[in-house]
Amino acid sequence: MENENDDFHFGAQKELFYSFEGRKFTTRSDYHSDSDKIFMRQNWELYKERARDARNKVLAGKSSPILYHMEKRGMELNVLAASTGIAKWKVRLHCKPWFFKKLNNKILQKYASVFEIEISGLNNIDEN
Amino acid sequence: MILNYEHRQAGHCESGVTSNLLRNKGLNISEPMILGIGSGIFFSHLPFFKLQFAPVTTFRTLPGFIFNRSTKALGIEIYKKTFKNPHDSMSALDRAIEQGHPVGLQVGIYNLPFFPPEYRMHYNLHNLVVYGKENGEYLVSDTVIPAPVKISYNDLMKVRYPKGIFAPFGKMYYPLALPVQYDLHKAIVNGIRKASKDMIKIPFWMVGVKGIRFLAREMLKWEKKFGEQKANYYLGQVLRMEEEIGTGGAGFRFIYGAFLQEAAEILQNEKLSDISIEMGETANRWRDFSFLGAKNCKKRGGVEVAYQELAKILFEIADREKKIFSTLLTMKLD
Repeated sequence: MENENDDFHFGAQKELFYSFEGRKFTTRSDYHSDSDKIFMRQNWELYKERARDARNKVLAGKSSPILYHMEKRGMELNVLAASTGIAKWKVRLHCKPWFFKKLNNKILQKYASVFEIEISGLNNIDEN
Repeated sequence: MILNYEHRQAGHCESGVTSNLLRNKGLNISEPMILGIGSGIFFSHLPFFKLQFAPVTTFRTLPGFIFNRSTKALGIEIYKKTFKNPHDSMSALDRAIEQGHPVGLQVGIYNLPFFPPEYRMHYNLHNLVVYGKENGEYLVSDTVIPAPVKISYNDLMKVRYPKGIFAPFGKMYYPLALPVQYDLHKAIVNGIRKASKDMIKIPFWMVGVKGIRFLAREMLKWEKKFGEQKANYYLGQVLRMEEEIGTGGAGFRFIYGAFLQEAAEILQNEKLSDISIEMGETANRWRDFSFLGAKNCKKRGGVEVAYQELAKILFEIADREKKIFSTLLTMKLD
């Protein structure tokens, strides 16, 4: 591992792999190879970067906390829209800070229950 | 109530689950065999269909096809249902377990508590088996995990009702009864023919062997079109689909080769065993492709391996697979 606070532990469990060696197919229970870890890490980093970007946007007042909570959970817009039952264009609108302020508790509750937090926690965008 | 069920790890979730469920009913059939009979092998690259911010590349048929096709080919009666109400689906699950059937479920990965966080994407095509209930907790056999695990009622309900693309709606399935006799030879031959047709004969440029060539051509454009970083991410997505989404390695090509090898023994066909070796060599080329491609996916790394080189491997693979599947389509099998 490159640094201490690296939270990437992919491939800690043994999985079943097939392989072809010496004209025979075999199975083996093994860990993921290092090359597999590289592209899994790429995805992992992208999600973290998106969450960081979203947080900066919220701090800069360009976006509402909904965007941060969505990105933090690795959700895409269509997943959030389907889980809350709110149309995609509305979710996009709710990501604007000026519109987010006007939302009533009923809609906020929908978001809060999908994110599994309290309504008051929606404004909390601390990392971790 | 805990049913007598043997947990086995498998390379691919759906064929592994099907094989384990049938084994539980007394039909001894291996995972590669299920993949082959169910014609699980496929290829398509769909640039207009995005998952995790990159185009989807699949190496398999649609979810559910392997179970449906393989049980149909063997003449096995099945139960299969989706539910609108989550609580209904849970009570249906309880009833099935009471009746003594281990149940296969289609679930979303994101909320599975026993999965490591790196796996937890919003991906709804995972399969697992529930084979018992004890003190309000369900016993789950997941083919990715080495040992069976327990999961609570609420967690299980949550993973059965994720939203988004391919939402499962609590889909559950299990084999009901085995037929008195079944024709394994015919099932194998039909499975091979169906898979070969899918790979070669579909007149659409994004699927089958044509799809591999299409991916190679697209790959050459990525760097110019999207820039280095995005091109590398797109490549990473292809590799993740090839190696990680429960494929047993090399995008099911290893498992399919193992099937051909097994089929050659059952059908007593020398030529088929030669083709299985060719399949294995092709699968190794897929491994080379992913090994080389991974070098481009490093953090802050540029393009270490030129896309021309990667595309060249893909063109070579396409030629090999074209040869393999056209031979399989026309050769005498029984």
